[in-house]
Amino acid sequence: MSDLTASSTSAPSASSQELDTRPSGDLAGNTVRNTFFRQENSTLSNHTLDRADAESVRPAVFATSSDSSTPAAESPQGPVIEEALKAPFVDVDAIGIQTWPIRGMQKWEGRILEVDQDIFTAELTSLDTDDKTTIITEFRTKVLEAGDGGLYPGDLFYMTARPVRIRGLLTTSYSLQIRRPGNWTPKDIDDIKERTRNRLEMLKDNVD
Amino acid sequence: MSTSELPGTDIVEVSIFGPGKGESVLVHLGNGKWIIVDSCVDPATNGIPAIEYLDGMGVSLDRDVLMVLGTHAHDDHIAGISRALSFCKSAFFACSSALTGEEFVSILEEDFQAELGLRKSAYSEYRKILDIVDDRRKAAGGKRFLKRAVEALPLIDETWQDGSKCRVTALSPSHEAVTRALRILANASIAVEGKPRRPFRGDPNEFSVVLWIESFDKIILLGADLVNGPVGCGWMGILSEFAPTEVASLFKVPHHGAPNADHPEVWERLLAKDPVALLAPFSGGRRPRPDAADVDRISARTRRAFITASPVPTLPSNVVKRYKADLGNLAINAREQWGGVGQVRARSKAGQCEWEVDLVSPAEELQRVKTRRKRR
Repeated sequence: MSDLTASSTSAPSASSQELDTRPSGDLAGNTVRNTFFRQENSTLSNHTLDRADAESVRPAVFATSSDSSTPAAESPQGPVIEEALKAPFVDVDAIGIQTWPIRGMQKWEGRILEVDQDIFTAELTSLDTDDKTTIITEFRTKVLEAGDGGLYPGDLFYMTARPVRIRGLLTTSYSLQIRRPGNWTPKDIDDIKERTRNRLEMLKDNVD
Repeated sequence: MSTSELPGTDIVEVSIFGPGKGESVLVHLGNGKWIIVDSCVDPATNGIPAIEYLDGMGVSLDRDVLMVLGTHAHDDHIAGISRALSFCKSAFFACSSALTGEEFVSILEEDFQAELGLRKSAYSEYRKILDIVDDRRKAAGGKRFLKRAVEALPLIDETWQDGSKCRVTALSPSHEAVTRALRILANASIAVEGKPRRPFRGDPNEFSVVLWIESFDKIILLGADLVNGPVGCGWMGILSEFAPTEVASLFKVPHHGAPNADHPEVWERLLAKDPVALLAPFSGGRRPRPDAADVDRISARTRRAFITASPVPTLPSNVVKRYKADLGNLAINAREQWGGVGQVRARSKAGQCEWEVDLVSPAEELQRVKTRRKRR
């Protein structure tokens, strides 16, 4: 199956059904249980987005190949697709086939806002766009190796995420790296003491 | 409502602004004089709603804002507060007494060193403020612009032209809370040679500043984020020392309606029956505040509670949907950072009992939040 296969209308095979409950490994070496594999009204949908999401996200590049196991002629839309494929450009909206965007690796900067048992809340800012839009989201703490120090509000981390297709199933390969700004040095301590002394002198003159 | 209509000189106004994370309270004490309590930033414009509101009404920021107060050092209460102070050129800055001691100053400087190369922390606002008040003192020939707030200390004491009094008094932190805070801060030193640099992570809610405001015949209680205890601190500390002869008719509900800041005796002993209650939500964490139980509890205590925005995250924009798609099942409950800034404005004329409340979207009655959450 091509990585850009449009959703199939055929019933799921027995082997596909097995994949539904089997954990699979992503490229970062993490074990990710596949939760994307959905079956609705005997229609196998094997992409990460639900329909509403897919409609809201206009594809940068769209699917042009169909599942080899699902001949176009057998599809209710088969003749339309065949006709469309003859044209130099395919109008996927006119055909009505489901598509998804191809997106490369996404880079993010995150700041932890709250840690609550096995979940932490973070604000994420994309490093790939100029608008610096920030979103809030939760992660399981196991995705971030905190080291000896643990995770605390205010900690910064870098994250990369990329959609990856493994045996036809789309999952997210990711890497999260907590940002450690090094250790305190004797010079740091001296600088702090010096600035604290100066600031206290200043405060004496300013507090009413 | 018109947001550009100045209140009359005999009208007391309390406005609260909040975008979902952060709050700012603006009080017109009367006679054209204002105070700003805490600060938040509009995530869409990066503007400071309280300043924009005053500017829109034509208030002279240079002359008519008497005080900018930071109730405590949490970034949802002090975002942009140094900018707000810089606009209000004759205002003094007030903060918890615990935040002017050597212990906190040391933390400030450690934090400065720790954040080098990192994103600025909330404490950078305090460093900027200290620089502003120092510059202001030098320009004003030695006049001081920094006040420590501690229990029973009047921060503003004015007599209006008609002879009526205006007094703004801090009810907290208690002396015991200050002592406790200094002990915590002294032990919180983060700069230890050879140890990893990390920003300071204290919880300053328990020594935040609660205000009791009396102007004309109005009494207002601004609850900051003060939590209930421990003994001798928080609301327990206030209730053990403070017994007013008259009660407040308007209440800024503390800590976004969270139960750890809700003391029943505050409602019984310090507030009138059915007071106007104002609050701002906090939707930055995993459990947004107020939650359904908080809404029920506050609604049972007053029928006149208003909130600046819904604590429930707004519907995701296309950008957020795209980000959610990029992150797949790695991210749980991805949502907008926070929504638009709502405003609840309460005004009351001297001699009249009632407060007239106006709402600027997405502000709404707390009761409506309750209904919508239950329907979901």
